[in-house]
Amino acid sequence: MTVNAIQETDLAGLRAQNHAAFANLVACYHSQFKTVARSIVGDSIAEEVAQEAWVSIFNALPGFEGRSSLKTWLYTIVGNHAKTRLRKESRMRPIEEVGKAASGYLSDEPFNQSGHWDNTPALWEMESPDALLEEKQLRHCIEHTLSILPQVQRAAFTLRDIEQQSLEDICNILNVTNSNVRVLLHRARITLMEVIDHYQETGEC
Amino acid sequence: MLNCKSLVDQASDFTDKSLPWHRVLSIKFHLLMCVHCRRFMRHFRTTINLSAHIAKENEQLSDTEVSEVMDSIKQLDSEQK
Repeated sequence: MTVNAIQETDLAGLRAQNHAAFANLVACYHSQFKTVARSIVGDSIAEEVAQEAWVSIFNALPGFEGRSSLKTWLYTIVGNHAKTRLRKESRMRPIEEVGKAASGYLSDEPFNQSGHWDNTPALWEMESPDALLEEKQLRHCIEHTLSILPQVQRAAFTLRDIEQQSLEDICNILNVTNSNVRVLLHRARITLMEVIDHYQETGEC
Repeated sequence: MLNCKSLVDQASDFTDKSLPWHRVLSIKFHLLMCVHCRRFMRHFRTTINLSAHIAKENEQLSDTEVSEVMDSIKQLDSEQK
Protein backbone atom coordinates (compact mmCIF):
# COMPACT_ATOMS: atom_id res chain seq x y z
CA MET A 1 0.00 0.00 0.00
CA THR A 2 1.39 3.38 -0.93
CA VAL A 3 0.69 6.84 0.32
CA ASN A 4 -1.59 7.50 -2.62
CA ALA A 5 -3.58 4.43 -1.82
CA ILE A 6 -5.61 6.08 0.94
CA GLN A 7 -8.96 6.14 -0.81
CA GLU A 8 -12.33 7.56 0.05
CA THR A 9 -13.43 4.05 1.01
CA ASP A 10 -10.77 4.01 3.72
CA LEU A 11 -12.10 7.28 5.04
CA ALA A 12 -15.25 5.65 6.38
CA GLY A 13 -13.11 3.13 8.27
CA LEU A 14 -10.90 5.89 9.60
CA ARG A 15 -13.86 7.94 10.80
CA ALA A 16 -15.13 4.82 12.58
CA GLN A 17 -11.66 4.49 14.20
CA ASN A 18 -11.11 1.13 12.55
CA HIS A 19 -7.82 -0.30 13.83
CA ALA A 20 -6.58 -1.69 10.51
CA ALA A 21 -7.41 1.48 8.61
CA PHE A 22 -5.61 3.57 11.21
CA ALA A 23 -2.55 1.25 11.17
CA ASN A 24 -2.45 1.69 7.39
CA LEU A 25 -2.47 5.45 7.83
CA VAL A 26 0.43 5.16 10.29
CA ALA A 27 2.36 2.98 7.83
CA CYS A 28 1.89 5.54 5.08
CA TYR A 29 2.58 8.75 6.97
CA HIS A 30 4.67 8.17 10.08
CA SER A 31 8.04 8.78 8.40
CA GLN A 32 6.81 11.98 6.81
CA PHE A 33 5.35 13.09 10.16
CA LYS A 34 8.79 12.73 11.71
CA THR A 35 10.34 14.71 8.84
CA VAL A 36 7.90 17.57 9.47
CA ALA A 37 8.32 17.40 13.28
CA ARG A 38 12.12 17.24 12.98
CA SER A 39 12.19 20.41 10.91
CA ILE A 40 10.35 22.29 13.68
CA VAL A 41 11.50 20.77 16.99
CA GLY A 42 14.72 19.01 16.01
CA ASP A 43 15.59 15.33 15.89
CA SER A 44 15.56 14.38 19.58
CA ILE A 45 11.80 14.70 20.18
CA ALA A 46 10.49 14.32 16.62
CA GLU A 47 9.34 10.72 17.24
CA GLU A 48 7.52 11.76 20.40
CA VAL A 49 5.79 14.68 18.67
CA ALA A 50 4.74 12.44 15.77
CA GLN A 51 3.22 9.94 18.23
CA GLU A 52 1.38 12.68 20.11
CA ALA A 53 -0.02 13.88 16.81
CA TRP A 54 -1.26 10.36 16.03
CA VAL A 55 -3.15 10.24 19.34
CA SER A 56 -4.87 13.55 18.52
CA ILE A 57 -5.63 12.37 15.00
CA PHE A 58 -7.13 9.09 16.20
CA ASN A 59 -9.42 10.94 18.60
CA ALA A 60 -10.34 13.64 16.07
CA LEU A 61 -10.98 11.32 13.09
CA PRO A 62 -14.73 10.79 13.78
CA GLY A 63 -15.15 14.57 13.41
CA PHE A 64 -13.07 14.92 10.23
CA GLU A 65 -15.34 16.87 7.92
CA GLY A 66 -13.26 16.78 4.77
CA ARG A 67 -13.07 20.56 4.41
CA SER A 68 -9.42 20.09 3.48
CA SER A 69 -7.88 16.95 2.04
CA LEU A 70 -7.05 14.21 4.55
CA LYS A 71 -3.32 14.72 3.91
CA THR A 72 -3.43 18.45 4.55
CA TRP A 73 -5.48 17.87 7.69
CA LEU A 74 -2.97 15.29 8.97
CA TYR A 75 0.05 17.48 8.27
CA THR A 76 -1.59 20.52 9.84
CA ILE A 77 -2.12 18.54 13.05
CA VAL A 78 1.47 17.31 13.21
CA GLY A 79 2.76 20.81 12.41
CA ASN A 80 0.60 22.30 15.17
CA HIS A 81 1.80 19.71 17.68
CA ALA A 82 5.40 20.48 16.85
CA LYS A 83 4.88 24.24 17.12
CA THR A 84 3.09 23.87 20.48
CA ARG A 85 5.91 21.70 21.76
CA LEU A 86 8.45 24.24 20.57
CA ARG A 87 6.69 26.99 22.54
CA LYS A 88 6.15 24.83 25.64
CA GLU A 89 9.78 23.88 25.90
CA SER A 90 11.01 27.33 24.84
CA ARG A 91 13.16 25.58 22.31
CA MET A 92 14.96 27.45 19.59
CA ARG A 93 14.01 26.32 16.14
CA PRO A 94 17.01 25.11 14.15
CA ILE A 95 17.79 27.95 11.76
CA GLU A 96 19.23 27.24 8.38
CA GLU A 97 21.89 29.52 7.02
CA VAL A 98 20.79 30.80 3.62
CA GLY A 99 24.11 32.11 2.37
CA LYS A 100 25.11 32.41 -1.24
CA ALA A 101 26.29 29.15 -2.81
CA ALA A 102 29.99 29.13 -3.65
CA SER A 103 29.69 26.76 -6.57
CA GLY A 104 27.11 24.96 -8.68
CA TYR A 105 23.90 26.17 -10.29
CA LEU A 106 23.04 28.55 -7.46
CA SER A 107 26.33 30.42 -7.74
CA ASP A 108 27.62 32.75 -10.46
CA GLU A 109 30.18 30.11 -11.45
CA PRO A 110 28.48 28.47 -14.46
CA PHE A 111 27.53 31.82 -16.02
CA ASN A 112 29.37 34.59 -17.83
CA GLN A 113 28.98 38.27 -16.99
CA SER A 114 25.81 38.63 -19.00
CA GLY A 115 24.25 35.69 -17.11
CA HIS A 116 24.40 33.18 -19.97
CA TRP A 117 25.92 29.72 -19.68
CA ASP A 118 29.69 29.54 -19.56
CA ASN A 119 29.75 25.94 -18.32
CA THR A 120 26.63 24.47 -19.84
CA PRO A 121 24.53 21.93 -17.88
CA ALA A 122 26.16 18.50 -17.79
CA LEU A 123 25.10 16.05 -20.47
CA TRP A 124 23.27 13.05 -19.05
CA GLU A 125 23.99 9.78 -20.79
CA MET A 126 20.88 8.36 -19.20
CA GLU A 127 17.78 10.52 -19.15
CA SER A 128 14.88 8.11 -18.98
CA PRO A 129 13.41 7.96 -15.45
CA ASP A 130 12.97 4.18 -15.74
CA ALA A 131 16.63 3.65 -16.65
CA LEU A 132 17.73 5.99 -13.86
CA LEU A 133 15.63 4.08 -11.34
CA GLU A 134 17.48 0.89 -12.24
CA GLU A 135 20.83 2.42 -11.23
CA LYS A 136 21.45 1.08 -7.73
CA GLN A 137 24.39 3.34 -7.02
CA LEU A 138 22.43 6.42 -8.11
CA ARG A 139 19.53 5.37 -5.89
CA HIS A 140 21.98 5.13 -3.01
CA CYS A 141 23.37 8.61 -3.82
CA ILE A 142 19.88 10.14 -3.84
CA GLU A 143 18.88 8.38 -0.60
CA HIS A 144 22.06 9.60 1.06
CA THR A 145 21.55 13.17 -0.17
CA LEU A 146 17.97 13.18 1.08
CA SER A 147 19.20 12.03 4.49
CA ILE A 148 21.72 14.85 4.82
CA LEU A 149 19.60 17.70 3.46
CA PRO A 150 18.98 20.42 6.07
CA GLN A 151 15.82 19.34 7.91
CA VAL A 152 13.62 22.23 6.81
CA GLN A 153 14.63 21.69 3.16
CA ARG A 154 13.81 18.01 3.51
CA ALA A 155 10.41 18.81 5.01
CA ALA A 156 9.62 21.29 2.21
CA PHE A 157 10.67 18.71 -0.41
CA THR A 158 8.56 15.99 1.25
CA LEU A 159 5.46 18.16 1.50
CA ARG A 160 5.70 19.58 -2.02
CA ASP A 161 7.27 16.95 -4.24
CA ILE A 162 6.07 13.78 -2.54
CA GLU A 163 2.83 14.91 -0.96
CA GLN A 164 1.87 17.57 -3.54
CA GLN A 165 0.82 20.06 -0.89
CA SER A 166 0.26 23.65 -2.02
CA LEU A 167 2.90 26.25 -1.17
CA GLU A 168 0.32 28.03 0.99
CA ASP A 169 -0.41 24.89 3.02
CA ILE A 170 3.33 24.19 3.41
CA CYS A 171 3.82 27.72 4.82
CA ASN A 172 1.10 27.04 7.41
CA ILE A 173 2.33 23.57 8.31
CA LEU A 174 5.99 24.55 8.72
CA ASN A 175 5.34 28.11 9.86
CA VAL A 176 7.63 29.66 7.27
CA THR A 177 7.02 32.47 4.80
CA ASN A 178 6.14 31.91 1.16
CA SER A 179 9.48 33.23 -0.07
CA ASN A 180 11.28 31.01 2.45
CA VAL A 181 9.50 27.88 1.31
CA ARG A 182 10.36 28.65 -2.31
CA VAL A 183 14.04 29.09 -1.46
CA LEU A 184 14.09 25.88 0.61
CA LEU A 185 12.48 23.87 -2.17
CA HIS A 186 14.75 25.25 -4.84
CA ARG A 187 17.87 24.50 -2.81
CA ALA A 188 16.77 20.94 -2.10
CA ARG A 189 15.98 20.25 -5.76
CA ILE A 190 19.21 21.81 -7.06
CA THR A 191 21.27 19.84 -4.52
CA LEU A 192 19.66 16.62 -5.75
CA MET A 193 20.17 17.61 -9.39
CA GLU A 194 23.86 18.28 -8.81
CA VAL A 195 24.20 14.81 -7.27
CA ILE A 196 22.70 13.27 -10.41
CA ASP A 197 24.96 15.47 -12.59
CA HIS A 198 27.98 14.21 -10.68
CA TYR A 199 26.81 10.60 -10.92
CA GLN A 200 26.29 10.89 -14.67
CA GLU A 201 29.82 12.21 -15.01
CA THR A 202 31.68 9.89 -12.62
CA GLY A 203 29.41 6.94 -11.77
CA GLU A 204 29.81 7.87 -8.09
CA CYS A 205 28.06 10.01 -5.48
CA MET B 1 15.55 39.94 -21.80
CA LEU B 2 15.72 37.01 -19.39
CA ASN B 3 19.14 35.38 -19.13
CA CYS B 4 20.07 31.77 -18.29
CA LYS B 5 20.99 32.51 -14.68
CA SER B 6 17.56 34.07 -14.03
CA LEU B 7 15.92 31.03 -15.57
CA VAL B 8 17.87 28.71 -13.27
CA ASP B 9 16.97 30.88 -10.27
CA GLN B 10 13.27 30.73 -11.17
CA ALA B 11 13.15 27.06 -12.19
CA SER B 12 11.27 26.00 -9.04
CA ASP B 13 8.78 28.86 -9.21
CA PHE B 14 8.19 28.03 -12.88
CA THR B 15 7.68 24.34 -12.06
CA ASP B 16 5.36 25.16 -9.14
CA LYS B 17 3.36 27.60 -11.28
CA SER B 18 3.92 30.40 -8.80
CA LEU B 19 5.06 33.06 -11.27
CA PRO B 20 2.99 35.86 -12.83
CA TRP B 21 2.02 35.29 -16.47
CA HIS B 22 4.50 37.77 -17.95
CA ARG B 23 7.43 35.95 -16.30
CA VAL B 24 6.09 32.58 -17.45
CA LEU B 25 5.95 34.00 -20.95
CA SER B 26 9.54 35.27 -20.86
CA ILE B 27 10.76 31.89 -19.54
CA LYS B 28 8.89 30.03 -22.27
CA PHE B 29 10.29 32.39 -24.87
CA HIS B 30 13.82 31.90 -23.52
CA LEU B 31 13.36 28.11 -23.58
CA LEU B 32 12.43 28.28 -27.25
CA MET B 33 15.74 29.98 -27.98
CA CYS B 34 18.15 28.26 -25.57
CA VAL B 35 19.03 24.60 -25.96
CA HIS B 36 21.12 24.57 -22.74
CA CYS B 37 18.23 25.88 -20.63
CA ARG B 38 15.91 23.33 -22.24
CA ARG B 39 18.34 20.63 -21.14
CA PHE B 40 18.55 22.19 -17.67
CA MET B 41 14.75 22.20 -17.26
CA ARG B 42 14.45 18.63 -18.53
CA HIS B 43 17.05 17.43 -16.00
CA PHE B 44 15.47 19.53 -13.27
CA ARG B 45 12.06 17.91 -13.75
CA THR B 46 13.56 14.43 -13.96
CA THR B 47 15.43 15.12 -10.71
CA ILE B 48 12.22 16.04 -8.91
CA ASN B 49 10.29 13.02 -10.17
CA LEU B 50 13.10 10.55 -9.58
CA SER B 51 13.97 11.82 -6.10
CA ALA B 52 10.34 11.96 -5.01
CA HIS B 53 9.79 8.41 -6.28
CA ILE B 54 12.81 7.07 -4.39
CA ALA B 55 11.99 9.01 -1.20
CA LYS B 56 8.40 7.77 -1.28
CA GLU B 57 9.46 4.14 -1.61
CA ASN B 58 11.68 4.48 1.46
CA GLU B 59 9.09 6.15 3.62
CA GLN B 60 6.69 3.24 3.87
CA LEU B 61 6.97 1.60 7.32
CA SER B 62 7.38 -2.17 7.67
CA ASP B 63 4.73 -4.18 9.55
CA THR B 64 7.02 -4.50 12.57
CA GLU B 65 7.66 -0.76 12.65
CA VAL B 66 3.93 -0.08 12.39
CA SER B 67 3.23 -2.42 15.34
CA GLU B 68 5.85 -0.65 17.44
CA VAL B 69 4.44 2.80 16.66
CA MET B 70 0.87 1.59 17.26
CA ASP B 71 1.88 0.21 20.69
CA SER B 72 3.48 3.52 21.64
CA ILE B 73 0.44 5.47 20.46
CA LYS B 74 -1.89 3.24 22.51
CA GLN B 75 0.27 3.69 25.59
CA LEU B 76 0.41 7.45 25.11
CA ASP B 77 -3.37 7.57 24.62
CA SER B 78 -4.04 5.61 27.83
CA GLU B 79 -1.64 7.86 29.76
CA GLN B 80 -3.50 10.94 28.56
CA LYS B 81 -6.93 9.60 29.58
